Amino acid sequence: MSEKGLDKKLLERIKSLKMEKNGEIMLQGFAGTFGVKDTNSIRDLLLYVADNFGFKGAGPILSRAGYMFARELLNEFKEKGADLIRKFLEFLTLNGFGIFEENVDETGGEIVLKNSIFTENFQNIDECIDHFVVGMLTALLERAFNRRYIVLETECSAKGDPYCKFSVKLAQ
Amino acid sequence: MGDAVMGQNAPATGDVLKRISRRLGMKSVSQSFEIMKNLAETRNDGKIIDKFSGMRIFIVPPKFMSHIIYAFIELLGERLGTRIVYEAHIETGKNMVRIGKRAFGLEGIEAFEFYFWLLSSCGWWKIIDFSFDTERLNGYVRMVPLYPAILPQNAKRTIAFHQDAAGEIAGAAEESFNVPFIVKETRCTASGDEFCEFVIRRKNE
Repeated sequence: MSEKGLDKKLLERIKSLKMEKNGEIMLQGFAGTFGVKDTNSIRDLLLYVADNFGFKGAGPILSRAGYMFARELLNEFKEKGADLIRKFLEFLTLNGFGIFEENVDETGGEIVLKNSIFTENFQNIDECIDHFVVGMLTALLERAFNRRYIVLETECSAKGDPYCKFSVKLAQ
Repeated sequence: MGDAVMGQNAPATGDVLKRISRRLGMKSVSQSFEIMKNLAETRNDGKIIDKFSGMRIFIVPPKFMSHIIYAFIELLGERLGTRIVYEAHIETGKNMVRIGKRAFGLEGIEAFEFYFWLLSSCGWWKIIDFSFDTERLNGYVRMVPLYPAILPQNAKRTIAFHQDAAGEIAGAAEESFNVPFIVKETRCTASGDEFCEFVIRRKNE
């Protein structure tokens, strides 16, 4: 998604949120409620888990969580194939997860994430840490093309890379 | 005994959410959400910054947390999984109270109340009852979660699922009163209760 004018699109998304009298936050066009979360709480969670299991050890837990979360969220989307990928990544971008750019088709490819919420407040650690995103992207590709994929994070801004990059390959 | 009470069982003068909202110049939690929206700063780098707290924020269906907790329980087991979730959220509760301290100079029970006000403003919980003895430093809060429990098939039916909130409340209480707290979820919607109840007590009691 283009960075030009993104500030206005993000603002439109924020303004379109409505809190009902019962305290539920709704977003036009989506069933169910929404919550506002801060990246400091994500950092605290990652740090605590990494202290106990290492960043690698946190991987299976958080990628599983991301996979299950996206699998359910994808039920809200009617698109298929490449359209689904574009629409879902745009949804995440507009919700403040960071800027997704994709170059994938049914055979695989790459997805880039700039300014990920999961790497905010991290720098110069030795591991890729967007495990939750890996899980989400795996679920997205499976749903889009009805095939199995292996998604690996090859670059991560938490390591000092300029952005996070994910390689997508068909599972054998 | 210095009680702080809010919610449907509270006397009209003790409706803490309204009182805190008024203190912050707002009529209600929904108005505070509107103000939060207006204070959001958006950027071309994809970040949304809440100028009120200075923190980067994002918008997400609340089941985001349900799936994170579920994954911890599923892969680490109920006992260890819920414990990790609890402890991992203590610092988050402290940080939320620090916002109230920094922005409004709140201390003690007011800072603790601020935590629940912030929680309600962000679409995660509906608070229905809160009682806290500021001398004995114990009490309870009853809340309805907006993120449902997701349980592995082999989980105990009586599981206390919302250990993220329990840990946060413990951290918020510690930051508010400068002593460590233990928080136990004694009722949970995951076990069929109509609300979740968190019992809050000073750690060395």
